[in-house]
Amino acid sequence: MLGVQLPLLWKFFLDLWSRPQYEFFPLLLLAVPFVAMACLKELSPQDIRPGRAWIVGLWWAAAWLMLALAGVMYLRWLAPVAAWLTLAGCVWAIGGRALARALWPVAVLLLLILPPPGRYDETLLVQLRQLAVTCASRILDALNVPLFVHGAVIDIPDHRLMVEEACSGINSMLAVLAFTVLLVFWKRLPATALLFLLPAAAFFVFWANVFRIVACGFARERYDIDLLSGTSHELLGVGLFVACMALVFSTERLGQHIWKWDDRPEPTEFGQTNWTPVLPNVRLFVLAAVVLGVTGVATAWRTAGCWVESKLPPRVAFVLPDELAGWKRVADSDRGPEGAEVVGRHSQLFQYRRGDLLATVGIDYPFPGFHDATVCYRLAGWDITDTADHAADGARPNRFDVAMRKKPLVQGLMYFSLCDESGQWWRRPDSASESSMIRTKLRLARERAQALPLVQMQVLRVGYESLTDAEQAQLGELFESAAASMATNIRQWHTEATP
Amino acid sequence: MTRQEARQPLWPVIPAAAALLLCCGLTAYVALAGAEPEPASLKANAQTATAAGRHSAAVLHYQHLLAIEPGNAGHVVSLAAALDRLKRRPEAIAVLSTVAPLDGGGFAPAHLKLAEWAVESRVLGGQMNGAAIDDAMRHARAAKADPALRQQADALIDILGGMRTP
Repeated sequence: MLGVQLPLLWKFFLDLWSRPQYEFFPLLLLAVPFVAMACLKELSPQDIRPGRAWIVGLWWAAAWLMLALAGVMYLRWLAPVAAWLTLAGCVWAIGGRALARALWPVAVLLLLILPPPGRYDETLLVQLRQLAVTCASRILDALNVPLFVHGAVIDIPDHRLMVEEACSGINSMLAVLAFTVLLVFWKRLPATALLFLLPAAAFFVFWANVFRIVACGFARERYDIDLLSGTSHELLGVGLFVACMALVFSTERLGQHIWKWDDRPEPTEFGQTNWTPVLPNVRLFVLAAVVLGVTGVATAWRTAGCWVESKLPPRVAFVLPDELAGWKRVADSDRGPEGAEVVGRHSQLFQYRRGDLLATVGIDYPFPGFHDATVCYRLAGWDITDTADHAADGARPNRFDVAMRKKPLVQGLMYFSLCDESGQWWRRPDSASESSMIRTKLRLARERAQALPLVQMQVLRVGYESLTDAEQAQLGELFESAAASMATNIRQWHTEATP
Repeated sequence: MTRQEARQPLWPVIPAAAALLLCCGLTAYVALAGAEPEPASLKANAQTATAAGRHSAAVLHYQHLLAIEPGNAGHVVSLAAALDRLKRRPEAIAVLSTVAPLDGGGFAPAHLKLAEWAVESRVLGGQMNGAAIDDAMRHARAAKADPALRQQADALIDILGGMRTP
């Protein structure tokens, strides 16, 4: 029953692995069997009675529904939901309410690796990151470190703290919380222990991240020690993670002292009694297996070509000409007051100059679906003042124009666009054409699932004064020339990579 | 059978207790510290940093001041001066230009500074074409809007006029 769900589950796990805050999930999955064994020790085999057939049927019917919806609507996050419901049905079939009650910690642990739909966890992480920056800036101020904060960036004399680099501390929030839950279940503490341990763990991770930012800023400004890159950066991150885990263990001891969690009956030796799990309703099981099997195969077939990985070579180097539309390539060190924001797994930056104008061309990839570059710029402290979308026109790509400001005086003009790995330019997803939000979200999910990975290109000009119309036109020419060159590269690589 | 209530050592508890107290203290400090520092203290810090030769720090303080008081042209001039001390004159000129438009108006001290820098660059051997001299003249004339700067502006106009003479 679970085997036919594996293809879609595999796609889900690949996506989960690409999110840094969920990289702990393999360890959690490995720990689940051990927690299950620990839970079963509190159960006497005499208490296990097979569950009622209609309840088991409900669990498996719900699993089938989730699996079918996952395939029909291209929602791969429903695959683990279907798997969870399938397992729940099996547990109920074998041991009914007693077994399900004993294994509820395992159910909770498996739910921890399920990210909320709509990526709301990332929204929360972004807000936590901003809060960490604010707190760190207050403490650096108290330490007499001159600084200026804009967005998630802290400028100190002659250096810039890009907090997205240090935000892996916030990324470890979910890992520490998950292992706190694992600790409670492993030690068979009462569920109420979570009410004390989880907030404490979150508190420690948050302030550990603030400490990391403060340490990097203070060490850089006062002693010119770089803790933001290299081995020291890695060591600091690992050290703080280990410290948080140690504090969680210590907090558990504190809770034991205060609330005496450890006064619980001795567990029964489940393994010492002869007990073999038996499925009482074989016909129901066979029916469910067949229905789930057929649905699983159909879902796997329907989603076989979806959510494909990037086919671009791992160390692909985009080559842009030294001269583009009257702009000349200049050294990377010749930057203006602000740089381009690039967040893809791979990125490249090129500087071009035309007269007094200096512009940055940035290429980064891969993105699974449309990536709005303004999100990154807002995080870096920019205020978006105006946007305009220009549809593709013949050979010209789609172009999304963004005018922005950064305190106190800086102005920026950015043009960006995205093309997939076959070289086709993407338009911005139209979120207004459907009659309901649910239909819109489902359509966007389908488009995202069926799309090839996208490559983003942006041209950014930053200065203290606004551009004239002629200068904007020149910037547009640079954008079109660079986009054409990039698309040619991509089509060539895609052709070579596709058999 | 209930577990024996063995005497548990206390030392494993200490790190958590200390960390919780520290985190609560820091939370209280940050909550009470206020949203932004006072402009007067930022200005004092900027002037102290300038006097101590820490011009990068002064730039940050003036940027922060401008973020709090965006309409204050005096802070713009101070920021530009700090950038100039860091040998970032082109950026300083661009900063001053935001409060010293060529078509007149704006902040007289900013106009005066731009005219001074134009003359300075010529004196130091830089190239200045007719258009650049005209721009510098406009800045110098705009600086005369402030009676306190008229004398200096007139002197610059004379120098610039002499540059025009072949």
